[in-house]
Amino acid sequence: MRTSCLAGQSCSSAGQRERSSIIIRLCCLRISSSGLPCPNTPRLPHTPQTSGEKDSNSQFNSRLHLVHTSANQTPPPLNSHKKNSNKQRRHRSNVSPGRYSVRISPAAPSKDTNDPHCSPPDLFYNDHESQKYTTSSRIQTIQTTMTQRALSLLSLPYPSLILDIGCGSGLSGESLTASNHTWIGMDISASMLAVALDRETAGDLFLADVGQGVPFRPGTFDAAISISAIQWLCNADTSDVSATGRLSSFFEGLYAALKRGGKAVLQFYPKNEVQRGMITGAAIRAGFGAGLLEDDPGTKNVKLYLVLTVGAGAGEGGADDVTNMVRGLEGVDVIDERRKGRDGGRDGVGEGKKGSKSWILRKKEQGRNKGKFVKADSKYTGRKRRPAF
Amino acid sequence: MKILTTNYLTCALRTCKSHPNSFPLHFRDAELQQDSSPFNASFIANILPRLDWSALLTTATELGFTNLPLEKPTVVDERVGMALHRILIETQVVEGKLVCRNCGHEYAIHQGIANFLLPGHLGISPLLLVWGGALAEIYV
Repeated sequence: MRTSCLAGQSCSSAGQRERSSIIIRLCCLRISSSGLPCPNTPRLPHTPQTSGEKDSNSQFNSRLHLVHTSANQTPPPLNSHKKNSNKQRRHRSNVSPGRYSVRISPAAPSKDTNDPHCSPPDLFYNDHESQKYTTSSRIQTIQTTMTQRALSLLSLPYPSLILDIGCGSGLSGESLTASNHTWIGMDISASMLAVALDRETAGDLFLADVGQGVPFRPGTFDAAISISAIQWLCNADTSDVSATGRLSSFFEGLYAALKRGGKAVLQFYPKNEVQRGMITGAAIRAGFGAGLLEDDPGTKNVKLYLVLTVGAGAGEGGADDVTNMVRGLEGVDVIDERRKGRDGGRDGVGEGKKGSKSWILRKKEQGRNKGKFVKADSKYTGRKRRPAF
Repeated sequence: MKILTTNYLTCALRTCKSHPNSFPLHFRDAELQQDSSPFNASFIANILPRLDWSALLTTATELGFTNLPLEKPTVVDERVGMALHRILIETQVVEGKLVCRNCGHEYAIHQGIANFLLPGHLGISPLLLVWGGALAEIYV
């Protein structure tokens, strides 16, 4: 079935040459349009491709997964801690690949701090590693490209106040300063911040663990950005914290610290599907409208961006919120993985509402199967009566 | 650390956040530095509605600035904008401490970087708080 939708219309009206298709899986709609490229889309430096045949015009072959979110997108009530804690407890016992704890004990074998999967970020990024990270031209290029991409997703119209989560040595911050924004950076690694000091970055720096919350008053930031950082939240390095607990305090803090209508783009490297699910799940539970943008899916250079919106725009039609952010970007597939509304979902299964025609027919069939006397079906079965005068 | 940032900063403790005393944080032994940076009028206009003016006045008085108007200006002209820019963006706190009036926790500032890392017993995970609360309910 081919039709046009809100986002589809905007794509074609913006005039795109490249293929930009929007797939909404659950509604069984497949919409594709083609046109001319948007004139206002910022041109980005080319990323290396592993797949040879690609449209030379499009920089990214991207997919946006709209992750399930509650229909009215209300933040969870304050007294819902108990339910959450149960969830967390269950999670704790069932899922182990996503979280692991590192305990420093004399009996344990000596820790290899070079393996990012076994040491916490503040130990992994020591002086040597921070210096290496910051001076590597390859990492610099990748970081700048990803920051530019995140900025184009945020599409901030005026100079804004931006929170940089895991700012490190300020590689991403430099792009923000270049775009005339003011930023505040948080990082857990003191060595990385020392490098940032040497480089004389323009933003304010904080030595802080975002897993402990975001210490800003509500509605502070226009936007938040994070480049290759939040996967570290999946580490629970001591026994008194859990990965889910850290993720939820981070996302709840971030949700509060962003202004209504604010946006966040968080690029991260999940270790596996479980981590990816944990991070997106925590964002949605905090009340965000979430989408997962995949650049160059299926290649070695795949980059994941968690695209989050706060409040505004989620009300009408549902698909309005996150898809707004990819408008005017080239070559983005939108895949809707959201569950439908409560009664909508039941209709999809085919059971029908109580009292509807399909429900009556089903009940009659059940009666017949039991051998009861059931009146024959006719064109009048389940039909509404005419309103009597 | 810019004065602008202080106007948005609260105590990092979860239990403190809801308390009115946790904002603004108060400077102690602050060492100031004046930089110069390009004036960005549209940025000042953008953040002005989100500034807590009474908190800004408190901070400014603590640091010895007295040239701010008592009421929040509604329109940003060149003169007000420059004054705000001078205090909010160009004034930096290089060394000192930030103190929360509610819990008394001191956040150290070194070379302009504030240390907001909480020690393990303060940054209690919400999970433990809930468990503690549940236990308290059972035993009361």
